[in-house]
Amino acid sequence: MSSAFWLAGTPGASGVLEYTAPDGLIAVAAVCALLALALAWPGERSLRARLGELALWAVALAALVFMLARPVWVEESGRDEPGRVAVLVDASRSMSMADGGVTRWDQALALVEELQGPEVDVYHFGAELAAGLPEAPTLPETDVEAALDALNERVIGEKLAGVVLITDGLDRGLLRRRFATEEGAAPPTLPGPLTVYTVGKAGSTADLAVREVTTGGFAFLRSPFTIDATLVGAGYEGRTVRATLLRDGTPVTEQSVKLDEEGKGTASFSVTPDRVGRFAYEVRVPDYEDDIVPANNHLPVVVSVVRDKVRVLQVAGAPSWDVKVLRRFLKGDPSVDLVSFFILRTNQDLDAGWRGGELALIEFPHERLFSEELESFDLVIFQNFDHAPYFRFSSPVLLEGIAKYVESGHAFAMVGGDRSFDLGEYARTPLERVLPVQLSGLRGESAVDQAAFSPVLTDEGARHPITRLVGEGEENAAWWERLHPLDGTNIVGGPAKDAAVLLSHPKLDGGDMPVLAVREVGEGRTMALTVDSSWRWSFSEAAEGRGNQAYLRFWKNAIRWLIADPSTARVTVETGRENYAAGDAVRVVVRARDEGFAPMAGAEVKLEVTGPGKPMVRTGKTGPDGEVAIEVQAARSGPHRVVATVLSGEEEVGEASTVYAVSTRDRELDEVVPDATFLAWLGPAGNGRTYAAGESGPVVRDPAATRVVWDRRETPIWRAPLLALILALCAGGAWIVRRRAGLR
Amino acid sequence: MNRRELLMLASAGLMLPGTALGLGEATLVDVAELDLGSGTTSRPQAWKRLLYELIHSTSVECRPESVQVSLADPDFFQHPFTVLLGDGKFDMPSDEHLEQLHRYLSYGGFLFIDETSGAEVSPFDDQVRALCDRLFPTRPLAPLPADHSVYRAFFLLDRPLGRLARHRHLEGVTIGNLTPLIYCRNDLSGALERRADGGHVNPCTPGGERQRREAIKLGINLMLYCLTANYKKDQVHVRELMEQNKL
Repeated sequence: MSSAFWLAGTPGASGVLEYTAPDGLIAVAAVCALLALALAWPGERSLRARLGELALWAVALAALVFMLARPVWVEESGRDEPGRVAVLVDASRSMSMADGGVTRWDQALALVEELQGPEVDVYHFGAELAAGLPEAPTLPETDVEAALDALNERVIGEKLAGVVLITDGLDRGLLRRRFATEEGAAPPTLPGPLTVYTVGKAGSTADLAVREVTTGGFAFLRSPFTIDATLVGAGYEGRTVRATLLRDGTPVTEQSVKLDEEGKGTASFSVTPDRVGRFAYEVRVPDYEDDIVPANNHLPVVVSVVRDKVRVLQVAGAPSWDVKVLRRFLKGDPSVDLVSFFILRTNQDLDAGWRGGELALIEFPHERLFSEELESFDLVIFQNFDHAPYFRFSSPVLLEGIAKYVESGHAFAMVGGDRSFDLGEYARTPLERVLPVQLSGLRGESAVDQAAFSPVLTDEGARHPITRLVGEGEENAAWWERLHPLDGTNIVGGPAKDAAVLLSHPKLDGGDMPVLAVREVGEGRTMALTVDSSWRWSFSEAAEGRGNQAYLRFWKNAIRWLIADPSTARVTVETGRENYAAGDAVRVVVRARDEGFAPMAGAEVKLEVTGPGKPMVRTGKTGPDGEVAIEVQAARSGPHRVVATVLSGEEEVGEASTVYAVSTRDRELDEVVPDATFLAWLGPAGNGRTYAAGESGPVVRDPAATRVVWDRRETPIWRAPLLALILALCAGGAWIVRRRAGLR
Repeated sequence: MNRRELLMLASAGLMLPGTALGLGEATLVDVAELDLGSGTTSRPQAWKRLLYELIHSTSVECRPESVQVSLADPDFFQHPFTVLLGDGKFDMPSDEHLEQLHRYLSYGGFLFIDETSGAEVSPFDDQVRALCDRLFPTRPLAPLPADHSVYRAFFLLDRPLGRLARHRHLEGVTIGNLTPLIYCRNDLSGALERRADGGHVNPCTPGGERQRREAIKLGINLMLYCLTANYKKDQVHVRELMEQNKL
């Protein structure tokens, strides 16, 4: 028999022995062998017999352990072979587009067929690289750079004869963006020269799209901001298209945009938001018949409109301590942009003998203020101001303008004095329509009460955010009780319809005459304070060492309530983001507060979501923190409005709303025209070349690129008959020696 | 409406505003004289004259009389316009009273100090500076710039004139953009003061009656500045806005 039989192969000299059994098994076998050897020691026999037997056992057990360790003799040797070619095929969804009747994917498959060979490895890529080809191009992203990086990792240390890229060039990763924006952009270092085959041809596809809408994300109230929409029209080069801006689904304005030679154009819409909150805008272009992807013809975006500062117009009929202290507060509040107008001289003062050149006075631009500029203010305060001497014959028009200004969502406050309410001749004017108190047309002394008094906090006042100076009800009432008395009041009728009286006079009108009243009128809010001595709550309180907190809190609360600051609403609703992709979960958080603005637990919440598609209704219940989070699915593309209604038992606590936008846009189909420019750059930048669409040619190869192929030969020594023979002979010999010594 | 229109309408007797009634006497503007003992003085007729001028020339509603207060007086905070005048060394108020005065000025009160001797050096002046140092250790009494609102509050003034015309500037303590304490060393109250028969108590030197007229204008400006603070600065801003079509 040959040595190959006895050794179970023909192991060479330059190899290594590898044990393929688990280490644990080898250790157990070795321990067992030592125990077996120890068991053979006892028994009466000559030393020679004992040593002979043990030597034979030792060899037999060693052979057994060696066999159980499954030794393999391993020999390896390398050899050089020609370099391979990696073919990377774009399998993103844009490859499913057809140009001239043939899809790009089919064009790519035809190229792969041409390139096939024994040295060719085919991969496909989207955002990642994978071997082989899928049945259809369905990947949602294209990232050329990521694919090339992944190839580098796969063949690390090896040079390829060539790298082939088959794509339409619509790279959504960074490489194409860098190419477009950076000087000296370069692709990753490749393991071989790059050959690019372009599939798809510009000009054979018609697609008009709203590529991008930029808003900055937020805008300031009553300040114009721009919504820029980037339009791209493949096949529409040089044509004029109509872009429409919609807000909450309603067209706001439209614009004609002439697309340039590359089919690009920008629509810029200037928008001046007139209220705070979130608003869903959408830019839309027409769906033409030849447009192959109408889904990218509109793009929604949500803009949050915030206040930069609260713009307050303070108009005072005369300087006074009350005017001074209110102005001092408003001027010192960094969140307020104050414009004051004080009447320093009336027509009664004209005969004092001062020449015009001695005076530092400017005209009161009442016409302009109360017509052109009125809308730019959030809040107008008439503080002891009588309109008639200044508005004159324009009074009906200007006062009607102020009333409409309030009804359309702004705020107005009238503060008392001998030029306010009836003394300011506001009875039976349009402004009376929006005041929270009724006027009776009283004149002269009958229109005022000059006796000092302490106003009484009403039940509504105890709950209202304006008169909530401190958190707890009893403490709040104590604050009001200890405040310095007021000096006198204008006399007014009762509260207007739907008005709330927060402070009342302790004696007048049976203790019911409003001193502080508020009202929601249309979309706006008004406040009436019938005194001109609220400054006492600042200055006189300071004399007592109590500071001016009562005054500051009162007026701060008043302004926040008047401008409908969301923090003064008992019900709020918000979503985590403004814009969602289809399929996202939209988490809607509703907060409810009780009259004292404490969290309202256990309130029933009804959520209605309206937008494209069927309205959705969800319900929930607020937790101990007054909050409930309800999830709805973002499904249909477009703006969605969420209206949350909170009920406590049968009573409606309040309602709040917000909006969010859902985009179902497929990024892969946002842009469908092949980017030949990018690909024309890419091939040479990768030390190779680019074939344009329809062109074909050989792959650029690196002839010096080779690869080492390793051969590995294994001889399973553990199966060698020689080992079994040694084991059998030694074990048998040991047994014979042992029997001869009389042992078993 | 422009000024011409306003004058024309006034002369035609139109658009007279309602009679000033006030919502209680206490809320009307008045003057409180701060009494710090010897060294300080009282000139109620001067302030009465000033308040009359104020009523006559401006829309401000006043109670044309002054009251005397001390820092210990609980009514001190009922009068946001206070004057301190004199020519001698007065007693420095206690720490407690200084704290009260500091609080008064911090929360909107106004103190006008009038040095009546007009001297370059006077015990009153020394004491005023010591008082200001104690009240505002980090904000020294300093000359007010020529564009300060007190020179524009109602009249356009070039310089502060009183019975005397020795000092070209008013001085003051400015906190932020407000000046709650203004110091005049030209004896303003001396120019305003009248006898019971209506005659002037003191001649104004060197400018005579023209100087007195300027002193009255300064007094009115001080009252208007107390009531409107830096409103005039705002008006400049407003005018700019108007010129830029932004208002």
